[in-house]
Amino acid sequence: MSLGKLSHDKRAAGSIIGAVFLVLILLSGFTFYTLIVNVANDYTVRLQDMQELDSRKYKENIEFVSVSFNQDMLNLTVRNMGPYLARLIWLGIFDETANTQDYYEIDFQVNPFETVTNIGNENIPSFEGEKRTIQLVTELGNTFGYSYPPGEEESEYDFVDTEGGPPTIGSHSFFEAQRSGPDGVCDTLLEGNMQWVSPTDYEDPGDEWLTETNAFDEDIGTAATNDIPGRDSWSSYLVLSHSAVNCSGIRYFVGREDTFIDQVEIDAYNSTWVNVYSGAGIWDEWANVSFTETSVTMIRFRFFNTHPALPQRRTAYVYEADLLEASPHYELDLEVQWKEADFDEANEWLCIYIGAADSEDLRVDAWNGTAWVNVFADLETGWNSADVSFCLVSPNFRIRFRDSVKTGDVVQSSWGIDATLLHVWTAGG
Amino acid sequence: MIILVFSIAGAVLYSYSTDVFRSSWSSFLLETNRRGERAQERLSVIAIWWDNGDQFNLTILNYGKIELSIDAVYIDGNWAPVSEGRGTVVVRRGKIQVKFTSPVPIQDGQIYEINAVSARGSRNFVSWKA
Repeated sequence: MSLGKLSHDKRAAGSIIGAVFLVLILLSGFTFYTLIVNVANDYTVRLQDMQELDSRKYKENIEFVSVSFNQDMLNLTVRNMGPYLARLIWLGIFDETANTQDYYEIDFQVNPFETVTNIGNENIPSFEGEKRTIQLVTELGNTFGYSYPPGEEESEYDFVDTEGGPPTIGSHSFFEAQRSGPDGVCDTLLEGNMQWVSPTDYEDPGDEWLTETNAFDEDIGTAATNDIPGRDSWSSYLVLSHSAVNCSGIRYFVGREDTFIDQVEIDAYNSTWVNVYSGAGIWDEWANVSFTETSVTMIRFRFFNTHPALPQRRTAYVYEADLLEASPHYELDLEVQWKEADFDEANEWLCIYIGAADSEDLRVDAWNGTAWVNVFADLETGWNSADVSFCLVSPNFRIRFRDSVKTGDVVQSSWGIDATLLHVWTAGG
Repeated sequence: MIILVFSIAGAVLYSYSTDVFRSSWSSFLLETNRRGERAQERLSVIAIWWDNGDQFNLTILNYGKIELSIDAVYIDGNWAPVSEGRGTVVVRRGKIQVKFTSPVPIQDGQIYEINAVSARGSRNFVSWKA
C-alpha cells in the first residue's frame, strides 16, 4: 500500500513539473507572439507614414513669383500652390555656360497658398543679368526650376483634344466635359461589360469556308464566307473555338447573298454538340441566342441553300460571333489624346480634375512613344498633377484611363472627370 | 526517478522551445527591420551633370526618414562604374554627388533612363535627355 501511495505522489509531482514546464513554454510562446505583433505593428506604422509622405509629395507645387537681387543678394519670391506646408531645403544654381551645378543650403517654410519673399542664401555670388537656371528642392524631394533672367513666360493650359483609339472598353458620358473646367460638369467614365467573348480560333472541317478569322476580328465589315451549292444543300460547318467559357448564350451577325439561303443552324459544344438554334435566321444585324448556362468550348454555324439548281451557288457570310459569359465582368480602358501638344517646354504637367471618384482605383498611363507608362496609380477627388515631361515627346500625346480590378470585377464602377489638361511652361521665357 | 525524468524532459523541451523562439524571433526581427528601413528610404536624383562625353555626376537627395548610401547606378539597365560617392552615408535631407562613367555611348538629344540604387535596394528612376 505504501509503495502505491509513494508511486502516486511521484506521479503527481511529475505531473506538476510537466505542467510547470508546459506553462513556461506557453509563456515563452506568448511572449514571442506579443513581440512579433508589436514589431509588425511598428512596421505597418512606418509604411503608412511613408505612404502619407508620398501622397504629400505628389501634391506639392511651388511657383516662382519673381527673382531679383537686392544689394547683390539673390532674392526669390515663391508661392506654395499645393495643399500642404512646403519646406525648401536646397537652392541650386546651374550655369549651363560654365557647366556647373552649385547647391546652397536653405531653410524656408511656405504655407499653402502663401507667398514668401527673401528666399536666398548670402553665400550665393551675384549673377545679376547673367543666364542661370535656379532650382528649389523641397524636403519631400520635389524640384522646381526657373530660368533667369526672367523673360516672357510661356504658360499654356492645353485641354485634351479627342477620344483615342481602340481598345475602347467602357464609355464616356460626355467627353466634351473634359475639355473645359473644372466647372462641375463631368465626363463620367463607365466600365464596360466584357461578358461578350470573341472566339480565338476556328476549324473548317469541310474546307469550304474562306477568310474564317474574319468571323472573330471584332469587325462587322468583314466576314468568313462560303459559296454553298444549290439543290437543297447545307454548307459545311464553320467551327469557332475558345478556351472553356461558362456560357449562357451567343450573339451572331450573319448575312446572305439572297433569300435562297433561308436556314441557319447553330450548335454549341460541351463534350457533345448541342443544337441551340435552328431556323430562318436574322440577317445583317446582331441576333442573340440564349441557352442554359454551360461550359462551352466551340460553336458552329451552317447555312442552307434552297435553290433548286445545283450550280446556283449562294454565299453565306459570318461577320461576327461572340460567346456570352454567364457572369458580368466589368473593365475600363479608354484613351484620350492631344494632337498638337506643346512638348518642348521646361515644365510639362498632366493635370486631371476628378469630380467623382469610385472605390475602385482609376489609373492613368501615358504613351512615351514605345510603351505605356503609369502616371497616376489612383486618381483622387480634386486636382491630380504629375510631371509628364519624360513621356511628352511629340505633339501627339496619348493617355489612357484604366480600372484597377482586371479579373472577377462584378461591380460596374464609374468616375467623373471634370477636366483633363496639360500645363506646360518655361519659366523665364 | 519519475520526478528526475520529468524534470530533465521538461528542461530539455523548454530549452529547445526557447531556442526555437529565440532564433525565429531574431530572424523575424532582422528581416522586419531590413524591410522597415528600406520602406523608410527615399532618394531622388535632383540634377544630372554631363561632360558631353561619358562622365556623369548625379546629385542625389535623401528625402527619406533614415540615412542612406548609394550602391550602384545603371543607365538603360547597364551597370555604370561609380568613381565617387559610392557607399558614402547621406543623412536625412542631405545630398550627395555620385560620379560615374557611362557604360553606353551617349548621343545628344536621346533619352536615357538612369537608375540610382541604394545599399538597401531602394531606387529612383529618371528619364534624362542628353
